[in-house]
Amino acid sequence: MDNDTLVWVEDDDHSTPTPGGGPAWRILIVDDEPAVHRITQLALDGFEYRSCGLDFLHAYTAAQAIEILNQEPENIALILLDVVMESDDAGFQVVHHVRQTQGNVNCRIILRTGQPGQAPARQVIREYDINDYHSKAELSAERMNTIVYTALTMFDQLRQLQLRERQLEKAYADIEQLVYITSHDLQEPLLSITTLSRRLLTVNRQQLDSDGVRCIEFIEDAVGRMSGQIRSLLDHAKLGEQLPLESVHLEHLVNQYRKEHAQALSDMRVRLDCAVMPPVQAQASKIGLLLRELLDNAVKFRRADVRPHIRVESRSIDGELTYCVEDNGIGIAPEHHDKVFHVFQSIHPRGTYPGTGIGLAHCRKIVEQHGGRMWLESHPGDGTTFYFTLPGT
Amino acid sequence: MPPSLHCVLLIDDDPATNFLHRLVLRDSGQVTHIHDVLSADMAMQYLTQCAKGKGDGSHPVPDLILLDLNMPGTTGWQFLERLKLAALELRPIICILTTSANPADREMAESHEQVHDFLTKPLDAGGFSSLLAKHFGTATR
Repeated sequence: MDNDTLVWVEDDDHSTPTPGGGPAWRILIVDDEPAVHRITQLALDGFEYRSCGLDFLHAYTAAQAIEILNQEPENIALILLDVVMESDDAGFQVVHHVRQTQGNVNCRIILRTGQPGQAPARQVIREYDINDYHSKAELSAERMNTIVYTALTMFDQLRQLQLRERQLEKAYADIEQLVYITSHDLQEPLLSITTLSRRLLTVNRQQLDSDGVRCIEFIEDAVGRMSGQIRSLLDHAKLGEQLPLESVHLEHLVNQYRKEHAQALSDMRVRLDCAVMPPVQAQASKIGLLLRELLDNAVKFRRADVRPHIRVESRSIDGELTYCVEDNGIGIAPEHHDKVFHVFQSIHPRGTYPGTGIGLAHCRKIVEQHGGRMWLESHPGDGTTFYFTLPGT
Repeated sequence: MPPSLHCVLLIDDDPATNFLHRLVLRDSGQVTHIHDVLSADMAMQYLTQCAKGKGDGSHPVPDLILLDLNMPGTTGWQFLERLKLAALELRPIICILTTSANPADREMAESHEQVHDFLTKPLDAGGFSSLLAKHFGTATR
């Protein structure tokens, strides 16, 4: 290659204004042959994607490319990369720098080699997330336009996806925070209401008629309920915290439950069977809570006329390890199968069963945090089986 | 002024709300019988009894039903469906009374053929007398 071409390329204006007014798409051309730079640029003359033109950066060695990448870690949309430059694998050093060192997964990388025999091994393509591979013979304007269009579309969509993901994560964290703060702050006025109404019912009782007494009793009852619900919401928000994963044996947790509730279980003649199950990598205390809620639930909704029988076991359902908690209790009507997993959505009139109606919402949140699913099968009067998977996070 | 309504049925899962509404209705002096139930199922039972033994003193037939929407088990909307299916020979005025500020609920209530009115809880003396004036033509004080 002659030096004139090199000079011509280096003189190129890097800050080409774009017709759309937005920032241009930055494309890094890495090739030791100046002619390739020139032909590429000519082939892409006038190219636009989403009303923005192209801005070319040029490197003639892997070292130069890495230097440019360090100055522009986020903004390069596409690298058109030669493999053989100062060394036989110089191109791969650039790829390694982008993917491994910089951890940049958005930037599209297209390899271009001079000889067909230099096609990179499949393993290399996968390992480094190389997006395309072309021979330098394919440098026609039409071909280049298609290649760059496809690459920019992908880069753009990846970036948007990443942005959405960040927004979602932020929104989720904000909600948890809001629930936490409001729950905390709401407890205080409730405490004042409780104390004051208690005083009315004791010190000032003589001045009240029976309607007045009932009014205050209702206030106390409502405040007590609200306080319980707020505590449950707090618990629910706290579940959002990520804990380290440990090896969890579900049968140990069932045994623990059996010990802790020995008296109550024997009073109610509950038969609690538990199979040996494969251990799971999970957040131990949360799986403990999950199991406690499910067992409490099974005990709470027992039928009066039969001996309560609860079974905990694992099954393979469609090839997936699935844990089951099965009871022979009162069952759940099909129209309520989804409702039971929602916060404060009790399906029984208040007072029929204790609890604020958040237990199963906790359970589903825990399972989903572990990347699993939770569902149930049940018919009224015929018992309920809760299923969940814990594939790990 | 003589009571203008024979019976009002209150359907709400919250006993405190039923108690409060009972006080408001009682204090208006316009209602002879107030019956309250804690679930839609109990309301259906009551209305079925009403339809069977019309005129029976133990189950006065309601002229007006105040219905909560968000209840455990059968919701207010599901209750309306069941009531329609039961085809009882009763034609009470049905007013939805809910804390739900959900615009979708309000919209649905406005277009719902069985629903005559939609009010936000709690019902107070003024709200009740407007309700009477609107649906029963009773002069307000």
